[in-house]
Amino acid sequence: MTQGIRISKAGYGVGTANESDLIYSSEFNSPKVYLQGTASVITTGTSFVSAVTHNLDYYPSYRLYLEQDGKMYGDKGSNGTSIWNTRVGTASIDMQITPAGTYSISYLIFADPAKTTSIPLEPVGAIGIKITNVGTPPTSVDLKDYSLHTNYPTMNILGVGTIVTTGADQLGSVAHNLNFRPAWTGSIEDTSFTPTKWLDLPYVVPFQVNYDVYVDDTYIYAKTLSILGTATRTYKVSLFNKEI
Amino acid sequence: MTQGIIITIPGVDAGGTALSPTDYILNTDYPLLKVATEGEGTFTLGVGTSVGTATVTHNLGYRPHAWFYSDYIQSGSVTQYRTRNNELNTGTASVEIVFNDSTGTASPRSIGYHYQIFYDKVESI
Repeated sequence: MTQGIRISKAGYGVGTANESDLIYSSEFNSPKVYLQGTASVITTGTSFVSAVTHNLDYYPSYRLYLEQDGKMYGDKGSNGTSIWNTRVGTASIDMQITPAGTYSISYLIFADPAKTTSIPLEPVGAIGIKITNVGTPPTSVDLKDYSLHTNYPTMNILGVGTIVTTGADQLGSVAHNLNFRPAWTGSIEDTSFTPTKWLDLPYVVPFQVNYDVYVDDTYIYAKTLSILGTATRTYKVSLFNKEI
Repeated sequence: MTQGIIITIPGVDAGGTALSPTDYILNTDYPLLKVATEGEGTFTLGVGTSVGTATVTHNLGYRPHAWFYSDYIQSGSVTQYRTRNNELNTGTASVEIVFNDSTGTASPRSIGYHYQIFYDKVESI
């Protein structure tokens, strides 16, 4: 980097830290939250219904969570319930949830696209900060060129936890004690595959309906359903500073 | 935090005494997700084929966070989607992304995809 802003983790030299040891760098773009909220979705179980309107005029990236019993699941819930299919259009996000019923979902829609495209820049507020990526002049009108823009909250990683399951339907958990339900992502190290797979959470196909991961105000939980046997599964879960 | 930088979301006093992690846009205690690389490609599925696989090399030496979206084609219109038919297998040198809709068709298909790979590790902060 010749010019820019870089913040390293405590204990790491800002000029020598690896990228993964940086808190922030204007060399790299970061997902920026455009919309966050909850929605009630009534589905037939077989057809797509519009769940969230964003009207961005491009395909944004997103994260969805399904609420059941006060806990926030990924794209599947308990007892066979799941966000079976999701599609994002240029104006809305549609989904199928099975079985038919009324569900509460939580969503994060990012200003960052799920396809490469230019994004009109929203003027920064009366007071705020915007920082372009290295090599881009601050006159850019494309939001993609900004690594930080205070109109759009960022995804900050609060912590990473490990949950190991070895038995059929064994439930594991890790306390986070945040007093809110944080957005989460992660991976499953699944030793039943040769070689071992690290499957992205919550979007793991073809076995997505057999991994249970959910979060409440205090814990994040993981359970490998018995149909998958007793091979060791190690869940690595990252928690973010977004309440879902 | 004893020393560091915080930037709060609009409407929240950065000097407040009871801030929540949800109040921050930047807090030097918590790393931001940082995009290492992103790009697009196309799965080419032949007649009767339902699975497309692509490998994206990152050479980071650890398992990074990654997001992946594929096209959804219905009645001639294209949207972006993920969940039901996607798998993402994260390695220390590359990421394998898989499209599988379990329904091979009578005509060849081209399914677009987009990925983002982050510098941030899935195994530790």
